[in-house]
Amino acid sequence: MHKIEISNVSLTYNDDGTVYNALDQMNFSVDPGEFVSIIGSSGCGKSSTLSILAGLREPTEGQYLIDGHVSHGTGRNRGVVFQHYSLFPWMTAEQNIAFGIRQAFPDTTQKEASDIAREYLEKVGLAGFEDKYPYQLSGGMQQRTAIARTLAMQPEILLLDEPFGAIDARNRILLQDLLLDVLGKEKQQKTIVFVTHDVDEAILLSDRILFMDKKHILEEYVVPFSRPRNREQIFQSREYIQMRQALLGCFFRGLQDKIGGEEVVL
Amino acid sequence: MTTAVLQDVPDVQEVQSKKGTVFSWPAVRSIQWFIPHVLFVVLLWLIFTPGADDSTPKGAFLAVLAISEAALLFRRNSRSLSDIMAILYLLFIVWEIGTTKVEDVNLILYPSPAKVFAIFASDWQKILDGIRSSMYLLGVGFSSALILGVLLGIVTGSVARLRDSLLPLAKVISPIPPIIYTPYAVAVLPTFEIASIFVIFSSIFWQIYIQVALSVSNIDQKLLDSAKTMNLSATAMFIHVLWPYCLPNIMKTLPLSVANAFMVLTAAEMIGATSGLGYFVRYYADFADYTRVIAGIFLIGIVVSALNYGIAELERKVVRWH
Repeated sequence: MHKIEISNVSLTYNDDGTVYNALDQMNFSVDPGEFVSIIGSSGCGKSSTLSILAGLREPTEGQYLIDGHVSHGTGRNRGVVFQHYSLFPWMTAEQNIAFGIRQAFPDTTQKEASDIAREYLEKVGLAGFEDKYPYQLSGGMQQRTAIARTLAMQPEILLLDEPFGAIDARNRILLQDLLLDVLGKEKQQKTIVFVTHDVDEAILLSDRILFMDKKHILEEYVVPFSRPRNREQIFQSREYIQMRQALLGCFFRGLQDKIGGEEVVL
Repeated sequence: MTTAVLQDVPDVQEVQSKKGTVFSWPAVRSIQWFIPHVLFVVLLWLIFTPGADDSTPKGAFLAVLAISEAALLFRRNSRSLSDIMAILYLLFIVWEIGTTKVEDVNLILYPSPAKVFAIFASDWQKILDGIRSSMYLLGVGFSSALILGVLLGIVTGSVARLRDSLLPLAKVISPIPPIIYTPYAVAVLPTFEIASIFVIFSSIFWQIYIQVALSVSNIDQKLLDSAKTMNLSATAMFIHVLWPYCLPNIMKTLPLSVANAFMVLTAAEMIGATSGLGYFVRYYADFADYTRVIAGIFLIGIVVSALNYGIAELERKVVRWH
């Protein structure tokens, strides 16, 4: 059985009478323990897809199943990391995580939650930053804390919406490696949907890549590399170069269509 | 000349700073540190030379001067304190000369500083009672306005329909100066206490209510989404997200609110109270005891400043995430 199944999902916004189509007849599924990336240019609907998966929006048409059951609204079985504002500015790194733990497991005492929070901060390399507020942390550190919080809440499904999109190139590499490392150490294999516009990131991290354009999934690629993965080896392999070309080709095809049509977006 | 023209910017700055030393900044500085102390000595001399008002005990005035001089010596490195004290001493000097060293001055209309400060020593019991009574009214009115304003503000801000209907109404009602209600409130409500609490309440409530409702309705959608994906209960959302989100803004408006509330309170006390700071001033004004009137005005200034200082400290303690 699929962990996640999206069938014929459409999403339309009604903005003061103008109906705007965000998703159009989308279909895809994710297996348990699979790492799937959704890639595409801005405005293709990838973030809308994630917000449906997170339960922040209800599909206008179609349905979405988790473990074979139709799902509505947010749920404890899913954890989300956004590009910005995942953390609460008024809580320290430790308080943010402990708060998450106490929401997911209300029986946890404050003391236990703090202990687990510190443990997770150490896992993401932030030991010693427990008492820092988000404004005192760099963007990368904030995202590490957000990842730590989401993992500490122990969801089965992890939804990541361009989590490294606002991080500089060097730190992004560190965070990608960290994510792979932390996920490898988790007891329970997570099912992950990762939204990005970075082709290399998608290839490096995922088992399968869905290319999205025109409000639905256009192409699908299976990533052939085994785990644990080595960045240098992958980037030098022929498979990587081919896959990268294919994915970039997808982007350019979309671009050509747009240039040929009425609307030009560069 | 040519070398001067060719000089680059840092050199020019160096020359300028050297010029500064030629005019001997250090000398100006040491004089500057000296000024308040000189003024202090002048003031003491003025107090102890015979004048129009030698019958008043000078203990309280001297105590005030001793405390301020001690503070000045204790915080020797604060230039602003030094300047502030210089200005203060200068005002005292003008006041002292104007009331005691000028012939035929009306000491009832223009009491000497020693006379005004003596009131604080002789009337301290009444003053404490006045502060207590005013603080009680202010405390009740203020805290009820704060609690209701925050609760209703958060609810209004998070429900679109309430926001669109209640906020426009609030914006019409809130600009009416609450002082205007005072005569009517005093007449209609059973006791003066309830009336003044009501007036204080309405002087703060609208400000806080509108502030909170607006900031909740403008909350970043991403922050809300993040909270929703954590499956927060309504209470957790209220206590752990919306309330701390509004807190910095509330703390920013508090000093102004307190000032407003105090203004309204003292005005109300002047109309119908039998105790309190405003009453103190009005009561003695009726007897043309302007010494006590001026002491009361000073007292109100001191109390408001103390309150504002307390709020600033509170803000520093409570809002640590900026």
